[in-house]
Amino acid sequence: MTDAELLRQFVQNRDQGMELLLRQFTPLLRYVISGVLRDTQDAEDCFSEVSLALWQKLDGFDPEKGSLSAWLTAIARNAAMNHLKARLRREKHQPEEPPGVLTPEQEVLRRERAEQLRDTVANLSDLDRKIFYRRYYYLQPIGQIAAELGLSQRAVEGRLYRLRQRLRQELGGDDA
Amino acid sequence: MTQWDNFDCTLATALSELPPSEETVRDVTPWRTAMDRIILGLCLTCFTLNVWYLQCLLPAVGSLLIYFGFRTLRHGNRWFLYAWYISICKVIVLYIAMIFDATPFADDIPIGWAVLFMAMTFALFSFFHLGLTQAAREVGQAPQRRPALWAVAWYAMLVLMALFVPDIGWLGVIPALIAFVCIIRSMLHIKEDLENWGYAVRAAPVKIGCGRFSILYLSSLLLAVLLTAAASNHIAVPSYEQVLNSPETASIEANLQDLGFPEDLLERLPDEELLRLEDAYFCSVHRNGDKADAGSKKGIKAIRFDTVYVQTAPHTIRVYEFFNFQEDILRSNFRTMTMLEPTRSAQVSDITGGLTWSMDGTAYRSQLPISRQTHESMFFGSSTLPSAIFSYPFFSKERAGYMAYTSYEDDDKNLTCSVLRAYLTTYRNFYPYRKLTTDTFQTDWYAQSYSTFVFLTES
Repeated sequence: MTDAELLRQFVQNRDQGMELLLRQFTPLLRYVISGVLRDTQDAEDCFSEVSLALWQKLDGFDPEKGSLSAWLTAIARNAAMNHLKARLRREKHQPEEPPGVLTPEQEVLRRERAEQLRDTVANLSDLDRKIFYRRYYYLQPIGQIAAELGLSQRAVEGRLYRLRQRLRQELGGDDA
Repeated sequence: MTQWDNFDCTLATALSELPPSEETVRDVTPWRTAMDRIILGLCLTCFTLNVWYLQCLLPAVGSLLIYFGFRTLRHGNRWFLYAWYISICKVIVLYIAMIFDATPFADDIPIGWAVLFMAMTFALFSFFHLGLTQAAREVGQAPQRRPALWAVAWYAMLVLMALFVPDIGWLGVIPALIAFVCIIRSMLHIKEDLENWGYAVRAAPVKIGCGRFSILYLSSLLLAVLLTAAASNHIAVPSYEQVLNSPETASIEANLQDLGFPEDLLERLPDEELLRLEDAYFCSVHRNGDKADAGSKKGIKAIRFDTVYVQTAPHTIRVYEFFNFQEDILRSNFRTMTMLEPTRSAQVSDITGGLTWSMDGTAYRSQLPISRQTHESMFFGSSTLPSAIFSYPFFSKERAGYMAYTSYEDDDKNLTCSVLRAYLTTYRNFYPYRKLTTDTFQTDWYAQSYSTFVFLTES
C-alpha cells in the first residue's frame, strides 16, 4: 500500500487506518527502536509510546517533505533516544533535565555546528556515511552494522575509529 | 551508549536535527543490499559473454555476489540457509572448474560436472523461491509473484534448448533474454514488496568482509589460473650444456664450411648430426627467411628461418630447417610447434631436431621430441607430418633450433622442396587451454612458414 493510500485510509477511518499503518510499518519501527534500545522491555515500552505518538501526530505529516517511512524512522529514533536518555538518568540517579533554552548566541553557534556537521557528513564516502548514520543516528551496535553491511566487526571498528578521528579534527573535539 | 564518550553523545544528539536522506533511510535494512547482491549475481551468472574473458570474470563475480547475499540472509529462514549452502558449493565448483580450464584436461571434464552444476542452479532457484514464499507468509502477504520459480522454468528451458536445438540462434536468444528481464524485474518488485519482512531479518555475522573475501577469492583464483596455465602451456625439454664439437668432427665441419654451410648454423649442430654429413659434397643455402611470410596468418615475423640442403649421396639430400626466435618473444616460453613438410614424392627418413639457447652466459642444447601431427592443407587435404612441440626455458636467450631429415628421390633430375611451419601460442589461447590447431586457414595461433626448394641433377 502506498503512503497516499495509507493516509487516505487514516483520514477516512482512523482506527482502520492506524491498524493498516502499524501492520505495514511495525517491522520498520521495531527495527529502528531495537537498534537504540537493546532491552526487550524497554523496546516494547518505546514501541507503545511511538504508536501512541503516531495516533496523535499523523495528521501533521506532510507527504511533500518526505516519505512516510523516513518520517516514522525519525519519530521512532527520537522516541527511543529519549527513552534511552531517561533510562541512563535513572540509572545514574540524576534529576530530569529541564528543557534547555538557548540564548540567541548559543542558537547561532548550534546552527553553525549543525551546518558544519552536515557538510562533513556529505563529504564522507558512501560506505563511511552508511556506517556513520547507522552508528550515530540509528545507534546500532557494531555487530549489527557489520553483519548488515557484510563487513567484519574489526573492519567496522577500524572505519569508525578513523571516522571519529576525522570528525573530531574537523568539528573541534568534544565541544562539537 | 554508556561506553560512549561526550563526543559520541554530542554527535548522536546533533543528528536528531540532521536526519539522514531518504536514500540512506531506504538503505538501512539488512534486506535490500542482500537482495541487490543476489539479483545482480543472478544477472551475471545466467548469461555468458565470450569477450575479454568476461565468460570467466562475470560468473566468478556473480557467484560471489549470490554467496554474499545469501550469507546475510541465511538466518532469515531455512530455505535461505539452504540456498546459502548451494551458493558455497557453486563458488567452490566454479573455482575448481576455472583452474581445470587451464589444463590440457579441460575438454575431458566429465558430463557429471555439468549435470552437477545445473542441479545446483536448479536447487538454488528453488530454495530462493521457497525462501521468498515463506518470507511473504511471515508478513501476511500472499505471494503474487514467483520470479524464482519462473527462473527455474526459464533455466530448464535453456538447458533443453542447449541439448536439443543448440543452433537456434537469435530466435532462441531474444525470447530467453526478454523472459530473463521479466524475471529480474519481478525479483526487484518482490524485493520492494518484502521490504517490511526484511526489517525483521537478523543479518548473520561474518568473519571476513565482502571486500576482503572478494579480493582473496579473485586474486587467488587469478594466481592459480595463471600458474596452472603457465605450467600447462610450458613444455619442459631436457637440457644439456653445450660442448664444443669434438676433434673427430672438426674435419667434417671444415668440409662443410668449404661447401658453403654457414658457420653460425653449423655451430647449432651436435656431433651426432655432423657425423651424418661425413660424406657431404654439395650444399645449397637459403638464408634470411625472416622476410618470408608465405602461410603466415598473423605475420608477426617472430622467427627467422634458414634452410640448408646438403647432398650426402646420389639421390640423397639431408635437409636442415633452422629457426631462430627473436629474443623478446615471451610466447616461445610456452607451447611452440614446428612442423616439417618435405616433398611428397620423396622418401623421408632419419628425422631429427634440436634446440639451442643460452642462459646466464652458458649455452645449452636439447633434442627435439619428434612426433607427428595432422595438418590440413587446402591443396593436399589432411596429412600427418613430422613435428615437435616444445617450449624454451623461462629467461633463456638466443633461442634457436633446427629440424632435419633425409630425403631420397629416385629420379636423376628432381626438385626437392621443403617447408617449415612454426606455430606460436597466442595469449588468448593461453587460457582456457586449447589444443594446437594446424589447419593453416583455421588456426587461431600465430603461424609462420618458410618454403624453399633446390633443383638437383645427378650426373
